[in-house]
Parts: sequence; C-alpha cells; structure tokens
Amino acid sequence: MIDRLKEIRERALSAIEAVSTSEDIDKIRTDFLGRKGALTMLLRGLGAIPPDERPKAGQLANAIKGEIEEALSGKSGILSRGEAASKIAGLDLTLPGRRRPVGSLHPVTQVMAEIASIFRRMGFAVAIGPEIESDFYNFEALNIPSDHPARDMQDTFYVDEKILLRTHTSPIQVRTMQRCRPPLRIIAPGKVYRCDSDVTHTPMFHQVEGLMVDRHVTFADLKGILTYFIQDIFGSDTQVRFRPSFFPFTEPSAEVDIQCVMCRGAGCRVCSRTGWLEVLGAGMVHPQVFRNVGYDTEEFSGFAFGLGVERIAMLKYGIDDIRLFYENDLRFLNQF
Amino acid sequence: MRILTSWLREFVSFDTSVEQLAEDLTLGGFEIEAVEPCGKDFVLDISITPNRPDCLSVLGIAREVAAIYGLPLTDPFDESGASGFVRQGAAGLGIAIEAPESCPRYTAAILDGVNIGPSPDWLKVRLEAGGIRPINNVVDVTNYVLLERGQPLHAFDLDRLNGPRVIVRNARQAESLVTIDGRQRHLASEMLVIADEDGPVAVAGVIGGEDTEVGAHTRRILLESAYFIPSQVRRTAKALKISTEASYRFERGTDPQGVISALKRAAVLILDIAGARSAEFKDVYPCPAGGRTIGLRPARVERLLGVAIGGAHIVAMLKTLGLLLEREAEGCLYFSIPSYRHDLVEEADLIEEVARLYGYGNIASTIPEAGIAVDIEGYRQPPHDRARRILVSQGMSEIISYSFLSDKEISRLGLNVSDPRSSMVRLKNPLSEDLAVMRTSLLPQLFGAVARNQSQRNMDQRLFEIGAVFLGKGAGLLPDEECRVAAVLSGARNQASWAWSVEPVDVFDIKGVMEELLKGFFINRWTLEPGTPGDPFYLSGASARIVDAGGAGELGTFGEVAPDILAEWGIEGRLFAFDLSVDRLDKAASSRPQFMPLPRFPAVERDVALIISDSIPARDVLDFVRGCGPEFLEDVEIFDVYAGSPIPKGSKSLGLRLRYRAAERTLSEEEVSGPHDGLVGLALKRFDASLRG
Repeated sequence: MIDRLKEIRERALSAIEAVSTSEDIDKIRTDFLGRKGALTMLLRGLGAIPPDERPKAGQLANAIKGEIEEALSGKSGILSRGEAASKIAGLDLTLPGRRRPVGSLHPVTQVMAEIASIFRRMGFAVAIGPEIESDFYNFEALNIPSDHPARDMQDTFYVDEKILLRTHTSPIQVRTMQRCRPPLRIIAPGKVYRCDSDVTHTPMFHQVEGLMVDRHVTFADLKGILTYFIQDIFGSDTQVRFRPSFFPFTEPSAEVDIQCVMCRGAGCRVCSRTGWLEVLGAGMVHPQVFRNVGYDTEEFSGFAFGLGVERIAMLKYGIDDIRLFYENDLRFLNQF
Repeated sequence: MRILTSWLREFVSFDTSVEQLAEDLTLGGFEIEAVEPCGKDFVLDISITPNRPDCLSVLGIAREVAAIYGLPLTDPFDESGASGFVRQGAAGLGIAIEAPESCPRYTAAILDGVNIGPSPDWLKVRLEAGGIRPINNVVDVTNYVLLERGQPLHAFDLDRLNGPRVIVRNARQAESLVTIDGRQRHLASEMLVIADEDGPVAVAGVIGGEDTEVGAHTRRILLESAYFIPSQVRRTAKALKISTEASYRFERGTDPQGVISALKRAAVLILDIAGARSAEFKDVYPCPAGGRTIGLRPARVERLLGVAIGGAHIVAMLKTLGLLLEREAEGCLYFSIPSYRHDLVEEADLIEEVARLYGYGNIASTIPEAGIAVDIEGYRQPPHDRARRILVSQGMSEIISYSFLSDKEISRLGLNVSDPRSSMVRLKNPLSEDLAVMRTSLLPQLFGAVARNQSQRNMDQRLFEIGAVFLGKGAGLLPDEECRVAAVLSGARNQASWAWSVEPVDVFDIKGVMEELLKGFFINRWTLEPGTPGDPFYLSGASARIVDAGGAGELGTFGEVAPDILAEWGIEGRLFAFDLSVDRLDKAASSRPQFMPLPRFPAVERDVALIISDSIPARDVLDFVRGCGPEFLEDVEIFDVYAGSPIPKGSKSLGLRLRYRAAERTLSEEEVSGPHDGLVGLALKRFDASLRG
C-alpha cells in the first residue's frame, strides 16, 4: 500500500512538472484527486490492509494529497502568469496613459481658501457681504467722511451719489459689528473694486480682511496673529516687520512687510531693491468706528487687517502681471 | 514729497548715511519710495500719508528726523531777525474776509520795487529736485517756501489789482476766471475766491488768475499767506478738477500759526534776490485757533499696545515731537498739541505717536487671550465652496471674470426687457464702455473665455464660474445680489489619444455635470421642465429648466447654446451650458445625506427592452415603472437607447434594468418573476409597446 502511494506521488509530481497548459493541470487534478482519480481509488482500498498499518497509510495518503494540491496550485499560478504575459506581449508602456479631464480651481480661489483655513484654525469665522455698497458702510462708518483726502487713497466706482462698488471688504466688518456683540473674530473675503488698471492693478481684485474685538485685544496680539499667519503661508523662516502707516479706520495703523520672497532680503527688482515687500495693512480699530457701531471704546478694543489676495498669489507663484488672473487663459489656469 | 538731503541738514544735523536715514524714516511711518542721487546730494522721495500734511515740507520731515535721532531742530530762518525788514503795517491795504468760516486767517504783504528775473541756481536746483519748474524769481520764492515750510503762498501783480484791497468771499453765480493755466473756469457759489472790486482774481487755495499773474513787468506785488479750511479747498479743487501743490496741502491742513513766518521768509528772500525795496504786511485773523490739549493715560497705552511704557518715558518721547506736558491728573497726562498737528484729536492718536516712537518692532508679539465668538454666520462651508469642489471633481476649470462688462454683451443674450437681468446697474465712472455695467449673468464672459481660448487653439473646454450677479432695483436702491454658478462645455469629451476615438461633447455631458452638482447638494427631488422661454439663447428643443420639487423654485437652466448666439461671440463648433442659482441650490439642499443601511442579501436583476414610440420621454417610462411599485423593486435605470434597423421608424428601443431585492432574505428567481412579468405587461399596455426580442 505504502509503496503504491509513493508511486502515485512520483507519477503525479512528474506529470505536474511536465505540464504546459492550464487545461492539462485540470486533467491531472481529475486523474489523481478526482472522484475516480488514482489516489481516491487507492484510499478506497484502505479497509483491506491490516488495521495496525491503517493510520500510517492514512497519514501518508493525506500528506501526499496535500503535496499534490500544492504542486498543482503552484504550477497553475506559473502557467496563468505565462498565459497572461503572452497575451500582452509587445506592450509599449512608454505610450501616454489614459487621462480624464481634470478640473482646477482658479489660483485666487486657492490662495483665498488657504488664507481662510489659516484664520479658521485661529477661531475666525468667515463673513460675507454685498459687493455694491452704500457710501455709509464703505466710507462714513469707517471714519472716512466725504471731503476727506483719505478718499483719494481709493479710487471709487460709483453707481450714484450714495451707492458704489465696495473698495474694500471693511463694510462687512461694520455690518457684523452692528449685528453682533463682542467677542468677535471674523475674516471677510471677497471681491473689491477700484478704478485703476496697469501691470500691478486690476479694477477688480480680491481682499481678505479680518477683525478681532474683545476686552483685552492689544497691538501685541495683532503682531502675534499676523506674524503667525505670514509664517504659515510664506514659511516659518519669513522675516516680518511692522511699520507705522495711516488708515482712517485704525489707530495706531501699521503696514506689514515681509522679507522679499524672491531675493530673501538681498534686494531685487520685485522688492524695488529694498529687500522688503508690503503685504498687509493693519491697525487697532479706531475709536470712532466703535462709536459708529455703538461699542463702548473703554470696554472693548480690537484690531483689523486687510490683504490683497492677488498680491499674495503673485508672490507665492512668481506671477509678474496681475492681469493674467482675469484673462482666463487655460494655458495660465492649468498651471495651478 | 521729494526733498534734497542737504536741505534737510540745514534743519537737523544728522550724521547717518542716506540709506540708514531712508530705513529709519520708513520705520517711523514715512515710507521712502526711492533715493535718487543728485550730484553729490540725494533726493528722498517720501510717501506722506494723508493724515500728515505737516510733513509735506522740509521743516516737517526735519521735525521727524530730529525726533527719531533725538537731535535739536534748528530753523535756518531767523524770524525775529527778519522783523527789521518785514514790518507789520501796510495801512493802505484792505483785507475783507466775508467768509471767515472758510478762511479763518488771511495775511498779505506789499512788496515794492521788485525786479523780475530768473532765480539763482541754488534755488532752481532745490525746486527742480522737488519736482517744481522754475518760472521767475518771485514765483520761485513762493514755491521755495512752500517746499520748505509747507505753507502755500500766492503773489499777485499789485498794479493789476483794482486797488490795494482784497476780498475773501464765495464766488457769485455765473462768475468766471481765467486761471494761470490759461483756462476759463466757471465758478459756483460754494467755491471760495479772492476778489478785488472787479471780481475774482484767484480761486482761494487752489490756483491764481492769469490777469494778476506776476510777469516780467511786475514792479509791486501783493504776497498772500493764508489759512483755508481743508474741506472748503477740497470741494473747490474737486469741482474744478484741479490739483495743485497748494490745494494738495490746504485740503489736508496747513498750519494756521505758520502763515506769518512763511510770509516773512518769502519776503526776505524776495528782498534779497528780486531787489524789493520794502515789505509791509497785514494780518487779519478773525477766528484764532485755540490751543488744544489731549489727555493720555499710560494705563490705556498698556491696554491697547500690550506693552507697559512708563509715564516719564512717554512724556520724554512726545516732547521730541513738540507735544509738551501741561498737567497731570488722576493717572492722565495732558499734552498741548502743536497747531500743525491736525491729525491728533483724541487719546488713540497720541497712543499711535507713542507706539511709533517706541518702535513697532520693540513691541513683542503675543497670541491673544480671547473668548470664543459663536454668534456669527459662516462656520459652515459656504455653498459656493461646495459647488466649486463638486465641479472640479467633474473635470471643470474655474475662471474668474470682472463683475462688469459692456451692456451689449448682456443684450446679446436676447433677454426679455421685463427679465430682471435686463435691469442692469450702470457705473457712473467706468474705466471704459466695455466695463460699464454690472453683470446680470455669468454666461457672456464664459462665452468670451471660450472664444479667447479657441483663438489659442484650445478647443476642448470645460469651464465654470461662480460669482455674484447684480439685478438692479431702481435708482437709489442697492441691487439684489445673487450668487450663481454657470458652466460651459465645448470640443471633445476626452482629449485626443491613441487609446480612444475622440467624441464630441453633447447636451448629456453638461446635464451629467449638472446632475452631479445637484447630487452633491443632496437635492434628490427635482424636475425637468422642457423649454426655456426666459433664456432664449439656447437652442429650442435642446434646453430645459430645472425646478426643485421641495419649494426652492426654479434652480436654473441648461442646454445647447444656439448657433446664432455662438456666432456673436465668434465661437466655433457647438457649446453646451448651464446656469444655476447657488443661493437656490443652497435653499433646496438637504443639510446632510440620510444614511441607508447596507443591503444584507443579494439583488436579482432583470433586463427588459421595450419598443415604444419616439415621442415618449424616458422619464415617463421610469416614472410609470416606479409608480407601479411592484413588490421587491429597488431601482430601475436606463441602460440602452437604440433607434434604427430593425426597430421600426418612429419607434425606439428603451433598455431597462430593474433591480429587485428583499430586505430579510435572498429572493429566488421565481419570486421575482411574478411581479416583474406583471410590471412588463402593464408597461406594454400603457405605452402601446412591444418587447424587443
């Protein structure tokens, strides 16, 4: 019995060794392990051998069955790979892949989203407001009376005497303060308009402004928040400086410069050889603005800031002409 | 403001390099735009913010430089020494201020025996460096003093004035004046003029008249030094559309106490270089400006700046700017304010001066301690962000166009006059006629973008824009602003490749993008209404309206754009578009999807192909099948549409795939057959159909 088992094993393994097609593998499986296969038939005769030899023979038979099955599946794997490989013979992997159209967000949208996400992380909520505004929200409430030279700082598109295209998103700050009591932390992103058009100005551009009002907000906090923001968006080694400036709605006011991202402060064409780039305007909210919205100037203090999204995008991506943002040329848009 | 550093050094003897000076001024709030070499000298081009008109002069900048470096300010002009030459008097000179609310102070001097000629070179150099063209010695002196002290002066030819008497008054109706630029100016009653008995001779604080201009034959001059109220000068200059060196300073605010010293300075110079024999002046000051004091609490400084600065330190710093401590009471320091500092009005203004002198860079950065703000909209993702994300996933590229365009572009859409989009908001002062109205639709600029990209031979385009449109509500009212999303598809569905044949997009491509958008907003119940009478720019028969079944109304339209419209924009090929309201999508949106438990048992699928009349829309068949609701039916979809041989003309074959499932067990084929066969029978009858076999 044992000799016959060993003989079946030898026969099966050499048949598997010799086989060259998947169909033959199936045939071998039937021939040896099938219902009428050689091994199955032999095991049926197990009852005929002496009882004390039976366990040994049974164990051997099972081991041989496992061995044949393993050899069959191993060989079958090799053969199926070979057959699959023959089907793709001559495949040229250097051909370009099949590609579906891929969409893209406008670079201004991308940068605006990045800015918003940084401020959201610091607890600022996004507020929006109308793009066509009243003189009151765009100017008067922000301490820019008519007949004030500060109006020259922003060339305004007018619809009529009292209605205009907002020149900044600051009206949203006023509208929010009228509606809500401090504590307040908002950013106001959106389109703004000024009559100006050249390599560095388009008549429409995007701003993100921010406002934080609470009981103990200080100029030092303004520096902290804006430094964090700048180092997040331009890199943690970016040098930042604050210098005095003027905005009618803040006092004290500051311009925020970063070390030139092109020359790292050495001085180049982009930074007019100063080594610095102006990226933000900011300041402590002017008490007159608080009075205009009914906040107690003794109880509350706050800061506000504003930045041009296109300017940040131009610095980030090295774009040298702002008008490209609005020509909607796919050769430009597809780069981002 | 452009000044020579050598001129500055006459007032303050700093010894830093010009580069260092530029940096220190910039960090002090006076941004240096450029440093230009000028011989051995340098011209500083300084940007002066509108709140600091006192720094529109060498003297003003010198004050700041002295404060920055802690150096003394020395005025090279010795006013008391000049008193011997320029005396108060001029008894015969009449000055009548009829509008003291616009002109609180008017001072004038009579100078006799001047010889008009060119100025000496040193004077010309300083004027030219300051951007002012030399004219003659008298006019040049007035400009020199303007640059040096910030006080605009005007010289009249006294012999051409009617009498040595000037009147400061509002212009009268229909008065006019030919100004020194040779232009006839029509004056209005809200303008302030200097007049003699015959009429206006100058527009006060803005520009002089040609008739009384100082010229080669002038022998006697009347030299004016006055203080005009800023808003008065600004209104006049704006109305006349002129900006002069004088009006620029007056409208920002000059120093009412500086008029005499400027007048004397100019008189001495004219005596010196134009050989005048004598100078006498008269000062009329009906409304003297009172001295001001402002209180400053060091505790408030700390609270606003976040840094503790001692009272003594504050007093010492402000003293360098001429702000002197008057008294101290209850933790508050009271400072007297120089007459030239119109910008200092309240405590916050002084705190800025403290911060400026202390140095913004010396204030440490901190992260605020603050309460959490919750009562604000906007914590959720704005709907337009959601729409952007979905469209980009559909392979669409975002564009951004100007919010203004030409009304011709809107009118090309052929909208009805009663359509809200025909009520355009027009700008009073557009950059050009092409950018004159606010857009009421996103489509014209998308069409324009398609045409421009086609001209770059970019034929396969999948573009969208999201933004506000502005629907006018009538004069004096803010328009309605609605956020919309529009998209266009043109060219091939896939870029040309060795791997597939290029197929052109059709209306179902744009519809598919739109359906994904609706799905992304979890809007499941919407209906399609054929025809877009309100949007006549689509090809009829290939466009439809999308209506929310939940009550948000019409969400928008989609379809193929008509060829004549495409021709207007010069677009080649076919174009498919949709235009939806984001505000309405947001209104119709479910805030969140409703979870459906995953099926635990397999489904049974049955396909059936019905041959039905061409005129029956697929939706009717689907609605009918769903409406019949046979037992176990989970879903039905269309997997095939076919017309042509062997299907009879006028008919089409519609392939339906029906999926049956039971929630609690595996269905057998037999269990499905009953309901399925029944359903097919009903459908055959309802649509007069036959089975495709």
